[in-house]
Amino acid sequence: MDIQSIILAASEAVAEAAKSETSEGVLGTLGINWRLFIAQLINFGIILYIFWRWIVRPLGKTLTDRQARIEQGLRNATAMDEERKKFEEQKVQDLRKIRTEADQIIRSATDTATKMKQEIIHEAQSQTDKLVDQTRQSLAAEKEQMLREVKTEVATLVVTASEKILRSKLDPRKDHELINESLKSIK
Amino acid sequence: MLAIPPLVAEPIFHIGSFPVTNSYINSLLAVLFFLVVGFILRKKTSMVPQGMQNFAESVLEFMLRYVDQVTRDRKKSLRFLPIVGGLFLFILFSNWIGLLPGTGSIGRWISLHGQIELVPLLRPANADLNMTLAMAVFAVVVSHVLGIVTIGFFRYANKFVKLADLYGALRKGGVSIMIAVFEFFVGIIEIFSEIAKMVSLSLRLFGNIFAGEVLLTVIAGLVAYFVPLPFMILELLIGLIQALVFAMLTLVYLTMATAELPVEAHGSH
Repeated sequence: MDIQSIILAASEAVAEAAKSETSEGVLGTLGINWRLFIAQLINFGIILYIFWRWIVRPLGKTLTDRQARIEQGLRNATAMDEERKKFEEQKVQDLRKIRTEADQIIRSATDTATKMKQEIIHEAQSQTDKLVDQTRQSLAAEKEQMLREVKTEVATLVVTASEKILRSKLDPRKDHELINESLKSIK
Repeated sequence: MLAIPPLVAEPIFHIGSFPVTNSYINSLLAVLFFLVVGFILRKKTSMVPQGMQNFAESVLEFMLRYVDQVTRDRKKSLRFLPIVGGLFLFILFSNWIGLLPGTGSIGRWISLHGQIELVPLLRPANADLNMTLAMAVFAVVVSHVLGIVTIGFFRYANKFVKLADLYGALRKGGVSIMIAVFEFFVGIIEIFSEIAKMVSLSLRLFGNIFAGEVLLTVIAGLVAYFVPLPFMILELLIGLIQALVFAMLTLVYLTMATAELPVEAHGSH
């Protein structure tokens, strides 16, 4: 193929176009055919319909939904962050409060314990004193009783011995024996 | 003889009287592709995206960012995305699939114009004016429909036939009548500009893709190996840029049509 043949072909095409223009008009020369025009329009319409119905509508909805979901997620994350911060602050405050309360409880418990200890000791002391007093009193009473009983017995003995002495004849030997006998019985 | 692609897509066969052209086959392939991809993605709406869903989501996000820059309103962007994104992806897919080996080279020998020619089975869908015009008409019509739905029929119609402005000016009198008359004619010109929008949108895309196809055929005809590679890279870029331009312009039309009318200085609204 050389340039000459191309020019020849081109000039033939131009001549052909000019010929057809005279016979069919400008639209015919440009190849406008109403049937083909409608057919191509229908084809294009089908493509647009498919593109709209099967691609843009579902995917557009997905895109919009996803955007909304991401925005919601971001909002939630911010809200959760704030919530967490608030919770942390609350926690610190609560801990501080609890610690103060615990300190108070311990302090009051210690106070109560000390008070109770002192009371118990005081009570014990007073009871001991009371017991000692009672014992002392009963001991004194018993002693007094015994002395009284001893005195009674001695008196009886003396009376008995005196009677015996007065009843027998008194000689020094007898007297001596009697005295010994009396003394023995006293012992 | 070297077969430079003709201006008009060639019919490969007929169904009744309907000519199935090679460009139409390519646009059917695009429909098939979108059908398969759509079918797979239809149920993939997991909150943790993986694989294909991940890719599709990143493409959507990328497009949404671009649309946001024009509309400055995410709600509006989501409303326009199916139209603008669909246009962009379809044009991009059609342009790039036209660069695959086999497009323009595998064909049927058919008797055309009195001689037997190799008619390629595949031709880029956008190298057929029927396709680009269909998209352009669709884009402009949809922008008007959305405009009417958004701001109401009479307020929208007043953009083109400024009778309300004229009436207001007549009541007010003075210089404003003059301005309103001028504006009325500007409004009439606007109607023609709407037709120009369709023509420019469709011809721009068609011209670029068709010229690319011709360029690649010519270069490949001159030197078959390696030399066409830079041109193919160029075509990849052009395919992307044209898809972007078409989609962006459509987006601008949609945004302009749905924008609230500014309160004018003479306060006729």
